[in-house]
Amino acid sequence: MDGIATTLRARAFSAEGLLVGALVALVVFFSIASPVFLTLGNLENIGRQTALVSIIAVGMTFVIVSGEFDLSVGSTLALAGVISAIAMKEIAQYAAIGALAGLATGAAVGLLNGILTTRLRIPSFLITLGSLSIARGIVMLITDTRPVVITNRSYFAIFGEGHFLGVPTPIVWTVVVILGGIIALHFTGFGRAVYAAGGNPTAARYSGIPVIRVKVISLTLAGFLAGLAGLVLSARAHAARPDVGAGLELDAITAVILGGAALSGGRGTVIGTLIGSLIIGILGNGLVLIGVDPSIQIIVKGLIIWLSVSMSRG
Amino acid sequence: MTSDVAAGPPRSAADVLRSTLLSGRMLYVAFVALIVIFAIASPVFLTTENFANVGRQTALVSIMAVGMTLVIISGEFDLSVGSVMALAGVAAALAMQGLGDVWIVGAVVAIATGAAVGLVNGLLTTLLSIPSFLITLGSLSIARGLALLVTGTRPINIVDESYYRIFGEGYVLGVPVPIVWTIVVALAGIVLLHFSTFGRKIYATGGNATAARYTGINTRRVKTICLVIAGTLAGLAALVLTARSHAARPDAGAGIELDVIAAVILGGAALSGGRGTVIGALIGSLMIGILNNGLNLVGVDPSLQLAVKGLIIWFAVALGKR
Repeated sequence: MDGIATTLRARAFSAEGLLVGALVALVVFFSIASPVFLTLGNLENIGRQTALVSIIAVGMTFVIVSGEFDLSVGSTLALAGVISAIAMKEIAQYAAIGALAGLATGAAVGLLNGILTTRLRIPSFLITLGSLSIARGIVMLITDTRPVVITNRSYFAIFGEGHFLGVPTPIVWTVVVILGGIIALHFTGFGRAVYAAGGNPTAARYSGIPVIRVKVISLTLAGFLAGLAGLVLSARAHAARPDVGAGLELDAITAVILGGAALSGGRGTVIGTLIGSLIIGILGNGLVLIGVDPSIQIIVKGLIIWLSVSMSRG
Repeated sequence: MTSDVAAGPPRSAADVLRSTLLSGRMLYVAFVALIVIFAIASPVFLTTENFANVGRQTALVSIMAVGMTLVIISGEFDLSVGSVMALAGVAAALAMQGLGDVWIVGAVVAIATGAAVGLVNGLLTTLLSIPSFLITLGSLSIARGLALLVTGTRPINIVDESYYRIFGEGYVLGVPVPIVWTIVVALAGIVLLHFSTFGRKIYATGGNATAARYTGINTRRVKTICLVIAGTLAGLAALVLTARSHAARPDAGAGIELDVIAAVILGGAALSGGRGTVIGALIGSLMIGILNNGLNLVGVDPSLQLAVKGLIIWFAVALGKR
């Protein structure tokens, strides 16, 4: 198990080195191309804009390293936000109630994904494709496709609009999630079990690692973090919209793969994922600042995926 | 070399077809059950008119599902078909606007556009040895961006009457043309996959790429051709769609790749490659279509339909495991 630290170190100087280089190159380029880019206000913007993808991508890192996939995170985010808003409306306007309801919803969807995937031994790709539809359908059904308004000020402050030591709370949550992810994945027995389960499940099972439980926990964590992202999003919008988060799963998966994770499992880091998410966010922000047509931005996003996957192989 | 080498030549296509049909028997039971339930629940369901409706509604997914079947059996994936359909439709409409409103211009341009994207997908996937899942995720974005860019995000009108008739609104022997195209594509797919050498190569490539290579199969070429066919059929689907709506919309087809993949998997294909049939994919596509149509007729809330669609995917994959 000592090998993981070594692997980590080796990777920092190879693929991740390249990745950081790409990130720096992007920052330098946009700083020259736009006078606004390197201002504090804009950097805060980037942080806020990438918060959702970053938070979700940390959960996705666990799932992908463990050898699974979660396509349902976008729908889960919407469901968690809506349940959170409805709970506050129906029970009492306390931030804690909303938070609890949202996070529990996310975790419950993740748990269900995990149990179905591991018990039925069906690829999580398919199970979560089903949950993507089911969660979205439930959201549309209980909201009658209308946004649910949230009026609780402390909810806004805690998850979306407040500041902590001068830093906007979405960024604070992102940092908390990333630190938590780094510790859990790279410095605990559970983290080593996640790598083992994804790298070689048979070997992992023979060495006594509860592969099924590891995968279930990873998927539950992904659902839980999608729930947190749902809280951040609805706190910023002052409402939970049933149509949010569609397609977000592709951004999250791209961030993770860009960050050096292997699609087949067993490889990936939280820091790599963060850099991947930042590259996507900075690219989106910078292209808007220098006035590039939004259609071209979509094209560039596709090219970035091509580039990143070919880099990670080479 | 003296002993009987227990060489396992790839199972013959007929064997594969038979075993898949047997293992997928539950699918047929579910399919019939669905028809019986809706026939009882709605008096309109079992009419010819409504069946023509289902056929028209499922034509796009069915046509693309045939291409996706080849791709998935060969061990790859194509997430870009929805965007490719939009791009091919837009390219066809623009070409007809620029070069003259003749249906053949639109047809050639749409098919060529689809095939070209499929070729790029195939070459990048096989030459760089990168999972097609990722390559086509990139093309999904790129094709969509191109479609939005060249149209300025606005729909492009199509005014050629014969274009409407040939691809969208006409009839052949009383059968609506979208259904005719579906049947033509399905028959061609069946012949290619189950009754040709190339079909056996597809199964071999997806079933065990290393073994296939050692038996002299150029697996890269097989996979590339499958992806080209998927792109070509997305181009044909674009023709059917734009001929029915008299315009090419750059936002068409978003998310349809999931329906297409669901149809193929419902039809008994293995996600890991090497297993699947064209007939299975068609029944999968029809099941999804009948479900949508039947739930509409019975008056179920569209939101609930979305949830039911998810449950169906769970159900299907669980059945597929036996």
